Amino acid sequence: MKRLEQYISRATRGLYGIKKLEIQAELRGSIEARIWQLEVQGSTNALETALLEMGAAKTINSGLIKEHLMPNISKAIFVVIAATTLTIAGISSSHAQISWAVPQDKRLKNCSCQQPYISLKDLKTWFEKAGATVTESMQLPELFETTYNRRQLPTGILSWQDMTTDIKVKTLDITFRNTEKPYQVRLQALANFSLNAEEKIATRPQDAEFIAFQYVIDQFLTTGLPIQFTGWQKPKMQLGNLSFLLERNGQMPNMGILYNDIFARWWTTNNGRPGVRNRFTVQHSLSGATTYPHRHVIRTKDPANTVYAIITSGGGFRVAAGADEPPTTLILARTNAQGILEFNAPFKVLEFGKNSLLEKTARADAGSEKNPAQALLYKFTGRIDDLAKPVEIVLPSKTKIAAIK
Amino acid sequence: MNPNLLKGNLDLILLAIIEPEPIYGGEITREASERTGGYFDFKEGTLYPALHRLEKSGFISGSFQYLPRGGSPVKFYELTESGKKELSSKRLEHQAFGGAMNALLGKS
Repeated sequence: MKRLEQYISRATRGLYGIKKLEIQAELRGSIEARIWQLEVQGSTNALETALLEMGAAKTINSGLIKEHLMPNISKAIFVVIAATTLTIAGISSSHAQISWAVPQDKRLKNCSCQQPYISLKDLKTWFEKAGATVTESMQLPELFETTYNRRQLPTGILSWQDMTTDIKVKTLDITFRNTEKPYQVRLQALANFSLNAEEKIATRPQDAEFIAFQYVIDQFLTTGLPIQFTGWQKPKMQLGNLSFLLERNGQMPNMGILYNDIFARWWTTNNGRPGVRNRFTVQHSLSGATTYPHRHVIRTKDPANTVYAIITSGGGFRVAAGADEPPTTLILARTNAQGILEFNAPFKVLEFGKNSLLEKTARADAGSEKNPAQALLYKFTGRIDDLAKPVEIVLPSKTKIAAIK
Repeated sequence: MNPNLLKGNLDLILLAIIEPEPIYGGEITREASERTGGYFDFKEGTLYPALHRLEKSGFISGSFQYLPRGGSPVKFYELTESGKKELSSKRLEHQAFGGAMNALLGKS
């Protein structure tokens, strides 16, 4: 496919940054799709035919330059810059791209990681070493107050959360390229927070450095990256090889797994907060034990055989803050009747405080009213058959999981 | 056909093709050609800048998706709400113009 890459390179010469990568990916995808169609039709020279159909790379380049560079600068300046860019493109193009792809032998397999938390500092180092660009920032609390209170998901499921005040969030934006597509993944860790402004929970300064490993995986999932995680999570989560996309509604992920726009969360001990319509039917109470096998029935508006992935966890907010065991069960479920999702969600809840990062004296069992268990509901929009395809692991293998002492 | 005619109507053509369902670049050119019996046969070289312009204007939105056959992701485009309004407005504009031209040419 050297010929294809040369063509794409010529067509995008002079462009730069993420935009260039995105356009290259678009051209590559479109041409490859055409090649595949031609081959199916029996073409013996599919590549050349596809490129011929596309037209001259120079013509594409000219159009793209006009569209993406011209609006920003005057024509006179453009002539000078374009001439310079074209001259040095051959020298500098390799530096303009972010290359990040995990080699086969460095994939995360047979991980015996027992500790569920990773330090942001380590993550930053790993991704930077892998060639990604990582920027760090602190979010303003107001952003979360206004955007993420109760709302209706497209599936008809009500998603809601209680966070109202006193939130500081440290954010890592990781930009990289996996094979051909540019990605940006946002990871956020709580610096401090309160529950409904009535229960202040202090965190040590260093606690903000740690985030749940599951959260990292979750954030990568929302990009549509293929991912399989094996190790301390059982059973395995088997997802298709990029042949599906997780449903999104255009909102930025917020606060990791707790406030992601594609999950549904429910209280496991009652029917939800007074005045809040609850779409979930709780079949069994979870209180009073440390291990809770239980069964839920969720009524959705989705057709039968819709495929979901469900991630359950105990501990509500405290999961994200690192106070509780991370999500312990990953399961796949399917609707077994029109609009009804039924599944068993066994998960183990550790005693609160055992692995806690929080300096909190009051104790609340996971699954209780104060510390509700939760589940993330993912709806697959890809083909069900694709779930059987092989999966890739996209996290670096040398992930040293930071022990919390 | 006169390239200027195509150029003048490119946005309308693209929005109309994208309207029914998400579609990617290569398919757009083939769809245009098939639906017009080969009358619109534009190269993708003119297509992508136009698509990106429409995307920048907020009339369409693009997202990468993987096809069941595997391989590289393909960028699918779909109409946004403002794109639907734009298409509707351009349709009316075009119909009015076409009607006026027909009336004029019919008289001459």
